[in-house]
This record gives sequence, structure tokens and C-alpha cells, in this order.
Amino acid sequence: MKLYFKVIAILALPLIFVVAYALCPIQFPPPGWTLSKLDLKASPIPSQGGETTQDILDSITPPLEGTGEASPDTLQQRILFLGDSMAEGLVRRMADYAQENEHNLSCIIWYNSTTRLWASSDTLQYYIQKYQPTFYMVCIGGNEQFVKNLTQREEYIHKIIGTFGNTPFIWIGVPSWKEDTGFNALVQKCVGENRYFDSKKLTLTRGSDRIHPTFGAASLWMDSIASWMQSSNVQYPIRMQKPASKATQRYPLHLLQPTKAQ
Amino acid sequence: MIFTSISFWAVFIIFLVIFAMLYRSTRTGMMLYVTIISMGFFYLANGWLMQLLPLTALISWSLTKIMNQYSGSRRKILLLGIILLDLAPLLFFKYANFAISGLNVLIAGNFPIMDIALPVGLSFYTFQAISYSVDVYRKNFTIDVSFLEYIFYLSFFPLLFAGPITRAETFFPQVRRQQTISERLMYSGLWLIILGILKKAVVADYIAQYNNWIFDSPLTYSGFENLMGLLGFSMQIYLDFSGYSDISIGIAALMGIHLRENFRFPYQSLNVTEFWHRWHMSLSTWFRDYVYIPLGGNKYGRVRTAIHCLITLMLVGIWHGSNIMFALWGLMHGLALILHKSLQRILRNIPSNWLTKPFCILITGIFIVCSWAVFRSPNIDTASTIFKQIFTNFNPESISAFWAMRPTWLLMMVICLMLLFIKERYYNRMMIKFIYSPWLVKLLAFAFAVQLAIEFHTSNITPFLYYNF
Repeated sequence: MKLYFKVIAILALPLIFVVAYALCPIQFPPPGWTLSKLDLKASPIPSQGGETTQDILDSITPPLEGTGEASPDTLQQRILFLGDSMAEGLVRRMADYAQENEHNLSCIIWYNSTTRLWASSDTLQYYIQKYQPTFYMVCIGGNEQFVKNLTQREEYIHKIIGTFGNTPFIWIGVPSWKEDTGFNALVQKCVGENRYFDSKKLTLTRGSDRIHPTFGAASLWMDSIASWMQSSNVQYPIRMQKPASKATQRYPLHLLQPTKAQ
Repeated sequence: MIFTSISFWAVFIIFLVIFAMLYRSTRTGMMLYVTIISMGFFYLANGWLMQLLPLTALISWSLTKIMNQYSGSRRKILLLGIILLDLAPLLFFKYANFAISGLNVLIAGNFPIMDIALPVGLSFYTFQAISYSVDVYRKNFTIDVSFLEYIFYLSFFPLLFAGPITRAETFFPQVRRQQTISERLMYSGLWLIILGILKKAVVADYIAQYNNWIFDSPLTYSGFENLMGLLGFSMQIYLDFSGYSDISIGIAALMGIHLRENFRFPYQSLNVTEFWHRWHMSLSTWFRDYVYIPLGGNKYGRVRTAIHCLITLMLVGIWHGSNIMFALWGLMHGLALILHKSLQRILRNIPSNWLTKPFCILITGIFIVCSWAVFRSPNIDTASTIFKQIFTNFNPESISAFWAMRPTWLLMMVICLMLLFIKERYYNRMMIKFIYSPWLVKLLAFAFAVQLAIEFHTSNITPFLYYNF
């Protein structure tokens, strides 16, 4: 019995410590590095629904139409488009929309970026100061489809959208090529349904890497987003009339190179 | 039930307090208690399908008892009936949809695919049930066990979900002995639990994230990155499954059951035959004793031996899943075993020294790693793309970029590679040192493993790979 209690104590004491530490509001030790806390809220399978594009043969589909009447803000907007490599095709088509609807468009594509990078660097603040946007479009998450530390990612997402203040924004969900571990559902939860465009509903033709949509598919993807952006489904609709021609104006496009910390 | 989840350990500690009280006072009470808890875990994992386990236990136990009263052909027929009845749920849940798909292709039919999922642990307890009946039939196991003992054996939760497959002859004598659990057994169990947590929750889950990207879209990555993903998966599958086995054996040890190791440094194997003597030993010996030997083993000449070998390894492959890739993996190993057996006369003449040994380990290792590419890939296209990328798009420039981007991953792989080749006697010495170390050292070691697991594993849990099988 004595031996059993010794073993039970070995098993129980560290567990009591990690649970108590997880519930404790302070971090230990404070300076330098931090001892990670046990995530008591974590659920094994946080992903919503069973939708996946994995088994669907990719094909270009007509754009999804937004539903319901809406009276979009017809004013000219200064749009800042933030994204990772997934946004590459989107911004090309977005330029057509910006010209057609007389919006000012600035784009930042940060390859291999994650919400962590955007939240922990001052890149976003720098470009906000530079362009003073009145509307944000975000397409980040392509590199986080299979992450596990969703609770931490939630903090990063909140930090990014907190940086926007009261300025309206939309977050474009990643068109998953495989069932994600819950990142898309997490973004939707954080930003709200009327600011989140669920790209899972689309089937898109993929490029040779079978992940990124082709430019043609990304163009149709953007058409779907634009249609939704001026519908009543979105919290702050703006004018996004379908362009009749290709953009001729140049717009600021910043391509940021990958960095190591993810 | 995931052995690396905090909720499991919270339940297990409470369980262990009551178990410790029952263990010495009442054997029947202890078995009843463990069976109820095991059934509870089984219900949590499988819902209403948990009924399958007591049903299988009842049928298998009672028919084996009846069989034991007969001899000759009746005994044989009864054994065949028991095996078929034991196998029926496994065949249905694991292979029914595969058979329907195959039939649809063959006759251009349109039979609907059934909405069924394989109950977790079904494979493992089915194999244990079969081994029990066959051992009784062969009179290798002569102890008369009660139904409670039998269901306790089949449902014993440390082994229920992913093995190791334990024979009746190993299990029952220890249950019946009911002596005080030795300090050595207890602390060796704790050692294995710590090791298992480090293997599974710290390393395997961490390196898995990168490996998954590679196997999901190999074309996106350079040849070097594909190679790293392939090496990473070879490490992951070993650490994942051996880590799970370590925790299972460790928990069983805390409950007074000593089980043999399931993995013995498999990547140190000099050839494929040796690999199968070191890899998933409980499964490989099960297939040897209940498939390969009944088929005829090596008694009927070289050609028949080769055929038996091929059939057995193909079955091992298909056991992992109803997928052509698993069958192909089994076929690869079967052919490699045949090749090794046929070359044994020549190989015997090669001296075993410091030069030939690493070479043999390397050649065997390359084959094993290549076979894992087939095992992990969802289809032949993915596997061939990985190899194509490695050989045609190696891109040495990506090595420095890889190091800059994933230093932790790379460092972990290097450390693990070094530990894989540690000599067995050093490992045993470390274990003995741990067993006889002061209580506080053990406490700190467990606390360190738990915190390290949290550091690397901040949120949700990747299920054990072998849960799928």
C-alpha cells in the first residue's frame, strides 16, 4: 500500500501543479521565457462540420451570390488587403474591383505568414499608419490549417482584429484543401459570421501544388467574395460592382519574404 | 481514451487509489472493478458498439469451453467456428466497405457504401480472443478460466485500444498469482510511462505536423524537404506506436501485470528478418504463430515457405487497413523477407564487424524508410511523387532555408536518431538507475515529462496512429 501511495503521489503531484498553474492568472517565471500552461479548454476535434474539399474534384464553379437586399456604403474606401500566399490570386482580381468601384487598394502579401507573425510584429501597424485604411480585407490562415494550439491562435486573431479598432473589415476563410484542425471555425467564431467569408463552400481549381487556387479560380473566388461583400449578409457592405474590364491602374503591392518564427 | 490526455490521468489516479485497496483484499472484486472501468472506457470510445466486446467474450469463452470437451475433427470444426465468429465483426467493420467498393468496380454496380466506423480496439481484442481459443485447442494453455477472468483479460483497458496483443499464457498466471507488486515492477512501469509520454506527446506529435504537410502535398516541397518528411514519418510512426506501447505496458505494470516489450530498437536491425523480430513484436509473433505456422511455415520447401511468408506479410499489411497501399507495403516486406532468406547462405559468409554492421543497418534502414512512404501515402501517386521530388528536385539550397525555418524539428530528429542507436545495455542501465533512484528524482522526472509535453503540445491531441488499425 505504501508503495502504491508513493507512485500515486508521483503521478498526482505534477498533475495538480499543472492544473493549478493553468488556473492561476500569473505566468511563471516572469522574465525571459514562460512556462506554458495546460490548455484546459482544448477539445480534441474542434473542427466544425464535416465539409472537406479533399474528396471533391476541383472545378470552377459560378460565384456564390450574396443573399438579401443591402444598401452598401457607396463612398470610396481606402482598402488594405492583408494576406499570405493564398491571397496572391485574389489581389489581382481585387485590383479590377478597386478600379471599377473607385476604391484605393493597397496590398501586403507576406509569404508563409501566420496570425502569430502578424500579431507579434509591428508590420501591420506600420502599414496602417502608412495607408490609413477605411476598410480591411484579410486572408490569413493558409499556413495554419493544421495547427494544434488553437487557444494561442485565438489570441493572435483577437490581437490582429483589435489593431483594426472600429474600422470595418472582412476575413476571407482559407479554401481548405484538406479538413483543417479547426482554424477556420476559430476565425469565424472570433470575427463573427457577418465578417467571415467561408471559402469552404467553393470548389476551386488548384495549381500544380494542389493547394493554391489557379489565377482563374482565384478570380472566381474573388467574384464570390465581392458579391457577398455588398450583400446584407455582411456587417458593413461596401460597393463592389463587378468590373467590366481589367485594371489599368497600378496599386501598392508589398511582397514580404518568409521569416522563420511561425 | 487517450493516454496522453490530462483527463485520462486524472481518472486513472482515482482509479489507482481504489485498485490499490482492492488488489490485496479481493481478486474477484479487483477484476470486477477493472472490467467495469474498462467497459466504461470502451463505451466512451465506441458508444453502443461496446456491446460487441462482452458478446464476443461470451461466445468465445463458452464455445472454447465446449470445444475443450471434444477431440479430433469435432474439436477442429468448433475451433474454426469460434475463429469465424470472432473474426466476423472485424471483417464487417473493417472490410465490408472495401469489399462493396471492389464489387462495384468489378461488376460496375452501384451498391451503397455503408455508414460504419471501425470500433476502436476491435482488432486487438479479436486477436487476443483468437489466440486464447487456438492455444486452448493446441493445449498450450491448460488453465481453466472463469468468465469474469476471461472478460477481464479481453477488456483489460491498458491493452484494449492498441495492444500490445497479450497471450493468455502471459496474462492469466500473473492474475492468479496475486502477490505483492514489487517495487521494481512498479517503477519500471513508471519509467515506461515517462518514456512513452516523451516519445508520443513530445516528439511524435511535434514532428508529425511537418510530415503531414509533406504527405498532403509533396509537390509543394523540394526534394530535400520531401526526404525530411519521409525520415520524419519513419521516426514518427516508431515513436508514436512504441510510445503508446510503453505507456500501456507501464500502466499494466502499475496494476501488477508484467508484459514483454513490444519494440526492441527496430531501426538497429541488420536485415528485414531481424526488423520483424524487433518491430511490433506482439503482432509479428501473433501472425507467426496463428497464420504462418498453420499455413505450413518453413516445413515444405523453399517455394512454399516463400508463399507462406508472402501471404502472412500481405495479411499484416491488410490488417493495418483496407487500402491497396497497406497491401503493397506488406507485399514489399514479404518480398524483402523472401530475398533475405534466399540470400542467407551468401550473407552468412560476410563477417560481422564495425564496417559491415553499419552498412547492413543502412541498407535495411533505407528499405524500411522507403516502405513507410508506401504505408503513409494515400495512393501510389503520392508515394511516387515523393520519390520523384527526392530524386529530381533535391534542391540543396533548401537545406539552409530548412535549417533556418525548422531548427527545433531538425534538432529533435537528430537527437532522436542518436537515441535510436543507443546500445541496449546502456538503455537497461538507465532504467535500473531510474528504478533505484530516490523518490524525489522520480517525481521530478515525471513532472518534467508532463511539462515538456505541455510545452510541445499546447492544445488538442493527435490520436495514436495505431488507433486506426
